[in-house]
Amino acid sequence: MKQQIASLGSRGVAALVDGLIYVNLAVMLAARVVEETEVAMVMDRLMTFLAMIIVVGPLVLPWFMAFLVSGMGGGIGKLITGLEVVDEKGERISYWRAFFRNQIGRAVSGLVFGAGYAYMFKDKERRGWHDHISGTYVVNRGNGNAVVGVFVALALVAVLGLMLRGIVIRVGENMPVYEEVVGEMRDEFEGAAKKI
Amino acid sequence: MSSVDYGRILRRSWELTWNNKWLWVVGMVLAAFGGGGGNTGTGGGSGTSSSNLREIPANLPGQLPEKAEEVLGMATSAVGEWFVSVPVLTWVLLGAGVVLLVVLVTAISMVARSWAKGALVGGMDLADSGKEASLKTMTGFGFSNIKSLIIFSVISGAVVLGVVAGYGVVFGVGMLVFGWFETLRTVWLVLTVTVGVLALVLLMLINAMIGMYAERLIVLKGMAPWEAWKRGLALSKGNFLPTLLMGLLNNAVGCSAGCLSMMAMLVIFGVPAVIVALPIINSGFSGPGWISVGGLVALFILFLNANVMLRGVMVVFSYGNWNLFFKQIVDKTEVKQ
Repeated sequence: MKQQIASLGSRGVAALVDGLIYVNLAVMLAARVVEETEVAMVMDRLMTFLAMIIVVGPLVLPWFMAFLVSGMGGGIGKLITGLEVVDEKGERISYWRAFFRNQIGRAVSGLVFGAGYAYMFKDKERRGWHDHISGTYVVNRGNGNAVVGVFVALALVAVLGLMLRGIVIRVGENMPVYEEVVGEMRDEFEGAAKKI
Repeated sequence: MSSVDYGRILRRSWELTWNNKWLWVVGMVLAAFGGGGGNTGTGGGSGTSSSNLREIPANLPGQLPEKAEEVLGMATSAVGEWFVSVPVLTWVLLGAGVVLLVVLVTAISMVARSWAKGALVGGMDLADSGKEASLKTMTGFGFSNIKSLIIFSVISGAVVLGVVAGYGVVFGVGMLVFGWFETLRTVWLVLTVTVGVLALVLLMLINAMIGMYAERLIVLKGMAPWEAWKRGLALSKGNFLPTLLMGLLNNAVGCSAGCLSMMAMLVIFGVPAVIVALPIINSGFSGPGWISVGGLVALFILFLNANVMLRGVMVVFSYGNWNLFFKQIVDKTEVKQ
């Protein structure tokens, strides 16, 4: 491996950026749910939120992430921090190897309190279990750097904070409506139970 | 039969398991993705008290109001109306999405299981021959055998399904033929069900044996899936009793170790969990504190992770037993030939 192995710090920043992007997207959808007070609209948005989080996301993201890793060298976080996932020859990995690394490799690394990720601290080439089993290395590509990644991560944290603040305020405002609807439903079910 | 040294197999397998920690990682993958085989227990289900059932009036539907709105009010019917207002196509698309997701997860689990089986069988063989069983060396076995092992599992499943379906057809034809005569029909029913249950048990047993031999033939001898199935069947038939005994021993050791370690884990995690949960129960199940909830969640996560690790080690031990047994049987058969 002739290329320079990426530092743990830059890998951490890349992972943070990736994670924050997903969290921001989820919170953005959640924010749309609390915007509404009418039961039908709340249910509409809730269904959209759940469908995106539980069905569409897990269905689409694995393919998209494999495309990013095999076609461009890494996820958005790695692209920003200038990192690249390569094989032992220093070349980009195939689509299916990227899919295997992302889905099965990461699941392996996540076993037993993420021991496979912690292994990167011990490994000479800073490879986690997912890198070992898929025969990959994470190297510095040159363009982009960890500092840019840190700024992007901070910006994403700021956006997340603003969205969460908005959600808390909106939920606070809507709380009487929620309590009224939930209370009514509880009374109605209790009434129905008594009738039966 | 007596030529198989079971004691040596168990000792050597444990030695290899203990000395090659990288094998544990692959074992944990099999434990997590459900490919460990054997030693799995299922929890008891909950039952409904018959006395409670008796309290429900027999003419219940007649007593219920015809429309939900008569007993449920505006808020509930608003939710109900929303459900009705959602276009059917949306539900169909959502259902299709869920089905696709299940297919994707099943496919990923299948690939993970096949990879891990190949890696563990190959890794155990490397360890037994004194070579290093690292993630790098094992993963080669895993990758090169994914396709063959998936094809084999499809063949194996299809054969079982075919036999069960064939038996179903025979049963159906018999019912049609003997259906005219009450006594003959009853005799046919009792006979086919009794034979069917016994045959099913035997089929599952043989299928597991074929799987054990065939997976190793594919990974260690480079056989094609169908050839491996046929050779696995021949080896299972020729060595039925020794294989059955190895399976029983493997399960007995696995179950005993599993039960003992589960009991130890229940003491380690269960007692603190009860201590943490006691204040919640004492205060009438109302308002558990964040610390109690956090403590219980932490204990549960600890338990899950320790459980996966433990099961992973047991899977490695089990695969080790089968690998060593396979070697003895195949060596013996090859010498005979």
